[in-house]
Formats: sequence, C-alpha cells, structure tokens
Amino acid sequence: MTNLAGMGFLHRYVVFILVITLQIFAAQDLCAQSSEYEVKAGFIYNFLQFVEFENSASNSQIKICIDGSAEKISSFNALRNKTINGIPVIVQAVGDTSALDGCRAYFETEHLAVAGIAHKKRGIIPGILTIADDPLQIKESSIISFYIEDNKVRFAINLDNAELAKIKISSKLLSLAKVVRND
Amino acid sequence: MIDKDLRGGKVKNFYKIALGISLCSLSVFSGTVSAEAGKDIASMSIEDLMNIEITSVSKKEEKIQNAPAAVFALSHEDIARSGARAIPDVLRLVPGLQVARVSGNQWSVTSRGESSIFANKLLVLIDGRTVYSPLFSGTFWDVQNPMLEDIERIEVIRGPGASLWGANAVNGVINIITRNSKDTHGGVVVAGGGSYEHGYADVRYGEKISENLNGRVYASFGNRNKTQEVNGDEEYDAWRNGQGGFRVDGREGADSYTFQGDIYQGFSGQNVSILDEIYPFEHPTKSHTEFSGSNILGRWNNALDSESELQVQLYWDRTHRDDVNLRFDFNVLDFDTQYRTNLTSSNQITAGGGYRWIADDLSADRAVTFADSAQTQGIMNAFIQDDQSFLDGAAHFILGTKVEHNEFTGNEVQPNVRAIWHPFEHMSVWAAYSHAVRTPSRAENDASFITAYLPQGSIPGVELPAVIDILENPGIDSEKLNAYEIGMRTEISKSASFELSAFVNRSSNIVGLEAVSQDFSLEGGVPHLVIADRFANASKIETFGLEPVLTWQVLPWWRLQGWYTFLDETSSTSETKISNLNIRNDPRNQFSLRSSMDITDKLLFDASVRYVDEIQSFGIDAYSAVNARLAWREGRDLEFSIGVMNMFDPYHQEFAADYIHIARTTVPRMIVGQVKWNF
Repeated sequence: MTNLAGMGFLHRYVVFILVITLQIFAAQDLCAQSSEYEVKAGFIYNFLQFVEFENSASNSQIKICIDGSAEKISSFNALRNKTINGIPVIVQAVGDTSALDGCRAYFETEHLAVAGIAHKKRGIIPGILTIADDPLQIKESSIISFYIEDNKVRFAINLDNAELAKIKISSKLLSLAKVVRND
Repeated sequence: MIDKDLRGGKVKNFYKIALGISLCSLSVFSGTVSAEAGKDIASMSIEDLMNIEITSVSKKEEKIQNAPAAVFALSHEDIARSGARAIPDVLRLVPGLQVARVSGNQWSVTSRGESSIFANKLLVLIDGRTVYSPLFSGTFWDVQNPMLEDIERIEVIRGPGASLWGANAVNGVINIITRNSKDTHGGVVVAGGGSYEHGYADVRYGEKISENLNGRVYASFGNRNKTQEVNGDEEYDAWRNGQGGFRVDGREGADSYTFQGDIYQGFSGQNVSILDEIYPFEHPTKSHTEFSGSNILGRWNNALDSESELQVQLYWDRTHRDDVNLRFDFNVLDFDTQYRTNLTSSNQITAGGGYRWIADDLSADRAVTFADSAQTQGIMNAFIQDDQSFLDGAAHFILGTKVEHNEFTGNEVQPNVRAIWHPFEHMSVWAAYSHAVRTPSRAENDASFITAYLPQGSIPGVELPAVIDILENPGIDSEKLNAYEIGMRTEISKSASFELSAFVNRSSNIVGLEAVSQDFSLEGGVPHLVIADRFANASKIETFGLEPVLTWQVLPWWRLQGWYTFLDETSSTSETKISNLNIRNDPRNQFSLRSSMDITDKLLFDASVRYVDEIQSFGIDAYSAVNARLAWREGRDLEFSIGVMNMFDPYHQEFAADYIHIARTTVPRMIVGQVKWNF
C-alpha cells in the first residue's frame, strides 16, 4: 500500500507516461497472448509431428479426440483444415475412453477434476498419445501432461508410459519436456 | 489457488466466499480470449508456444459451474462479437436480465423484476468501484463507457449479493472487469459509424514499464444520433461523450497492486415536460444535460502465505450532472478491506469491512428540489462468511452475513446461506436463502417535485384538472427482500450444457406513494386540485421466476446459446398507500437465441433473435428483434465488421419513464460499420 501512495510509484507513473509518449508511434511487436486451450491445441498439433506410432490407427486422417467442455473443444478451431505430412487433422469430442477408435491423440481435460472428483481410472491405451491436463496423471496413465509455470504452458513426458503405448518420442520433444519415469 | 490479481474486485470475492474457490483463480491469467490469437497457433513451434502467456477463460466457466448462485459471465470475445457499443446493449446477452431502452441515452436494466428508468436494486461495479448513483440508488448508463476493447469480462449474478456487497445488491450484481494492463500491450484503434452511431473512436496504448510493472492509457469518443418518438416526432436525445483514462498493474513478490483512473465529459438531451402548479401546468422543453466525472482507484493485495490473503481498496469518484430537472455533484470516497484464510483444509473464512463517505451538492433551482441541498453521509460495513466443504470438496455449505450502518435507516443485517452439491460428475445442484435490503435513496428522503399533471376528467368524479406533488419523506424505511433460490447445472453431452435457476422473492416495504393532502387552488386563474403525496413503504411483492439456459457447441466452429426467462409478479398494497409504479414494468416472458459462427478462419458471423413480452404497466406491445454481425479478420491486427441491430424492424418501443415526464421514444434499426487495428 505504501507503494501506491509513495513518490516512488508516482515517479514510475511519470516514467511510464514518458515512455508511452516516446514510443506510441514506434513499431511494436504485439505481445503474444492467447487463451490456455488455444495454446494447448498448438502444443498437441506439434506433439503429433514429433512422435512415431508403431501401429497407426489410420493413414487417411489424424484424429485428435478431446474429453472436455464445449468451450475447450472450440479452442481447437485453429487446427481446422490443418494437415500433418499431408494428412488432414480432425478434432473430435469424445465422452470417455470407450469411444477412442481411430484416435491418434486423446486429450483428457481438467473438467473431471474440478468438482473435486478424481479422474476415472484408465490404463495406458496402446497406439494413442494420451495427454492430460492434470499434472498428476503423468505418474498414472498419461504419456504427456501439461502444467503451468509463470503463466506459461509446460509439459512433462512419461517415457515408460510411452513405451507401453508403443509410441516413440523424438529427441527434440524430449529436450523441451520434463522427462519422468514410473517409480 | 489464490488470486493475486485483484481485477475482479468483489465479484471475485463473492466466488471465493461462496465457493471456497476463487473466481479470481479463474482469471489468474488474463488477456484476450482469442480466436484472433488462435489463428497462428497451429503454425507456431513448441519453443514459441512455450513463450506465450496464457489466459484461462475455460477455467472461469468451470468455476462458474460450481457457484451456488445464478452466475453468468460475458467474455471479451462475447462483447466484441455482440456488435454493441453501449454496456446495456451488451447486457442483453445475459440470461435473465431485463434490459430495455427508454430513449437514445437511457436504459432500464434490472434482474428479477421491478424494471424502471430508476431501477434501484441492481448493484453495478466497474473494477470493484460502485457506479450507481446515491441520488436514486440506480445507474446513469449514459456515463458508463469503459473502452469495450479493454473489458476482460462482465460477471453478472442474478439474485441477492447483499451479504458481501451490502445494501442495494438486492436483485443482482453486475461487475465490469477491465483487462490487466499486462494483457494490453501495444496499441489498438477501434473506429466506426453508422445510422445511429454517427461516429466513434477508441484508442489505447499499453506498455511494459518494467519487469513487474505494466500500464496503458486510453481515450474514447462517441457521437450518437437522436431517435424518434412514438408519435413520429423527432426526439432530442442525441448524445456525445469523451472519456480517457489509465491503468497500471504491478507485482512485487506476494504483493500485487492496481492503480487506475478515468475522466469523462459529455452531453445528452431529451424532450421533457416541466410541470408547474400554475396553469398551463405543463411546459414542453428540450432538456440539455451536461455530465462529467472522474475517478481514481488503488487496490493492493498481499498473499500473506499459501493459506491466506489480504486485500485493501480505496477509491474516489466524482460525478456531476446538470439538466432542467436536476443538478447534482457527488463525491464518494470508499475504503474496503478483506481478509481470507483457510482455517482447515475444508474450511475457509472471509471477513472484512469498509467505510464510504458521500458528500453531495444538489440543486435548489431546478424542477426537483431538495430540502437539504448539501449533505454528507457515512456508511460503515463489516462482513464475515464461512465456507465448509464436505465429501472431498463435492459439497459446500456457506453461511455469512453483512452488517451495515447507514444514516437513513441505521443498522441493516443481511444474512445469506448457500449450499452446492455435485451428485454426479457433470452435474451440480444448489440452493440459497438470502435477506437483502435496499436503503432509501437521497431522492426518496429529501426530494420534492411535481410528478404528474392530470387533465380535467382524468380522476373519476372530479371535474377539475390536478397536479400531483411529491414531497420528501425522511421517515422512509428500507425495502426488504427474502429470496429463496434453487438451481442446477449439467453437461448434457460433451458439446452441450444446461442450467436452470428458479427463485421466489418475497419483498416488503416496497416504496410507493401515500397521500399527504389535497387542496383546491385558484392560483393562475384556473381552478385545480393540488394533490400532495410522498414516497412511503407501501407494497409487498412476490416474484417467481424460472431461468433456463442451454449452450450447445454444435460444431467446433458453431456455437448456439438459448435462454428463456419467466417472471411472475404479484403485489399487495396497503389500503392507505399507492402501489409502486414499477411492479408490472417487466416482461413476463423473454426468449433469446444467439449463434456464433467462425465460418472460416477470417470470416465470423454472429446473429441473435430475442423476444420480449409486453410491458403491461406502460401498454407497450411485445416485440422481437434480430441482430446480426459479419466480421472479416485479416491476421490478428485488422478486423472489418458490419452489424445490424433490429434488422427487420425500423423501430419499436421498449420502455417508458415513470415519475418524470419524458417523451416516449422508439428504438431504431441501427447499422454500423467498424474497423479495428492492432499495432
């Protein structure tokens, strides 16, 4: 509170006005900012370019399946009409793991946990890149889990779970991730 | 999670308290909710993505789903895609609100009934600053013009919020929350014009000042056309306003602070009739209104540790208005503090208090006069609320109260009890009981004016014209409400959600009129009656309502939202009193359907239709209105749009004024083109 009333703050405010006056016509890079799930959509699109599936579900399309609210699913609009290696990307909402036929990636969003109810138990799903919002899932049944650090999205990869799902992760992706293994 | 960003003010606090889950945490990361930003997401590398600061709007929706109250939030994107330029027109998107345009520059905005140009039971805040006028406990909407591009969201609670916000949060709370300045770096220019909006421009520039300090400045200007009266005559309600301001947000370790201010000036007008006790009684006049104001606010938050936090807020707000009916100056100084702590892992206590000092200078030389034309008053408050969770957080029970002392009615106690339970994974049910009061306004206590001229033959059995005087009543008591609410929310499927709120409001002491005297007068040479009334606690009202809302993401690029509001009001009035004029001012049925389509990455199409039932008290017919907006986004920096409001209807009437004599006006079809440029 003292900062608010003190001269230090006023000084900074005056500096701020001066900075704006000087720079208002200068070219500025728009600060990158986006909604959380739009960014996560971008991550998932990238993940699929850096993983190899031993048994691909389909070569005619790459289906990203999402278990989440309508709002979150709509954040994936940016992937419409996108391709990976010429194969079209499809985004599909799914209710649970029984509807994962043909899915290349399965993104389990946080909504199941918000009511204080634990995630449903599920095992590793062979051939599907399982990605979870809940960081704790990385020790359970996810191959990749998101977490937030300084308002930025980060991700962890469980190599053991990836091997169980018969999915190879590129070294580039691993270099950017926090790598964990099952105890 | 603990909110370290106080932009949400008390609305956030409400969630903290009501849920034990902070809505602030919903917006720990603020910024654009952007299809706009999303366009380039797929072409960005992981390294680039890792550098993006994120927003967390979807969390907001999840948390709102856990609120034991009828809560709705309009996002930045909702506001931008509405095509509206005035806050009340944006609020038409909110389920359950009654929004009606009275003239080109006046609106009635209420929740759960008692619509009026002087609607006085809805608390409106901008960034935690109360903007309703102490004059009549309502909001002058023509001076509430925050730059729309910088609004992060508008949170609306239907139903009482008095146990936290205090008196006058009776039927609902609207909090307009602007974006943290760390999310508004760079410049933006929004400019447009059209058939009604003759021309407007908003300019904002934001900058990172240092590692932990961000700021922005803005200026906006608007020029609106006049509308048409019901009888076809031209109204005198064109209005112009200019506004500017700044916001600085900083963070130092566990401390975060906001410092912001606005200054505005403008004018509006209307055709009014000034009434007189002397023949010819009525003097049609073009009233020119000049308004101006300024405010400055500081807010500081400290996360004392992971289990508790302290918030302190101080603001000063000056408002000035001058027209033929009234001239006033208000100065408000408000101090609030709040402390929250987790007593145990399942129990959270929030407590706080505040003081508001109000000084006014009211006209003694206009149509409305005041016995005491300059007054100062103080309002003190303290509140405490406890949130106990059960079943591993699947159920919450909240108990709290606010005690407020004001100089009109003394102490007011406003308790509140709420509970929410998640019986299934995607379903919650909630119930609440609240007691709230609406304290008398300065006008009800102290104002005198002539409210009506009744030509000869208007009063059965009386062969004389009459004028009705309203006199001050310092003895008036608070209006009281006991509200019973239940609600449920469920995800019908992964792409559809449904919520339903129902309520019974039992209000007493509702302000109406009571007869004081009736005198025969020959003043002016024409015999007439002078009937003197005064404001008095006259009526009881029982209101029942249903508010279902359905949201359906039909396809990833197409979203539909529909809502219906049913409102039934019954009233009884003491035999010696005259009923409140606002009781049948509300539509019994309202329906709205809104569609938002991202036709391509660049082409967006929004359309909505709403049906509003008749207003019985004014004899205004039901109407339907269709709005549409087409926008072309070129990258993230440029957008062109064209919008039409009331597409199939050249004009319609929505509302009328009570107590004062202004012309009945219509709402025209409005076409507006706009360009937005980020730089």
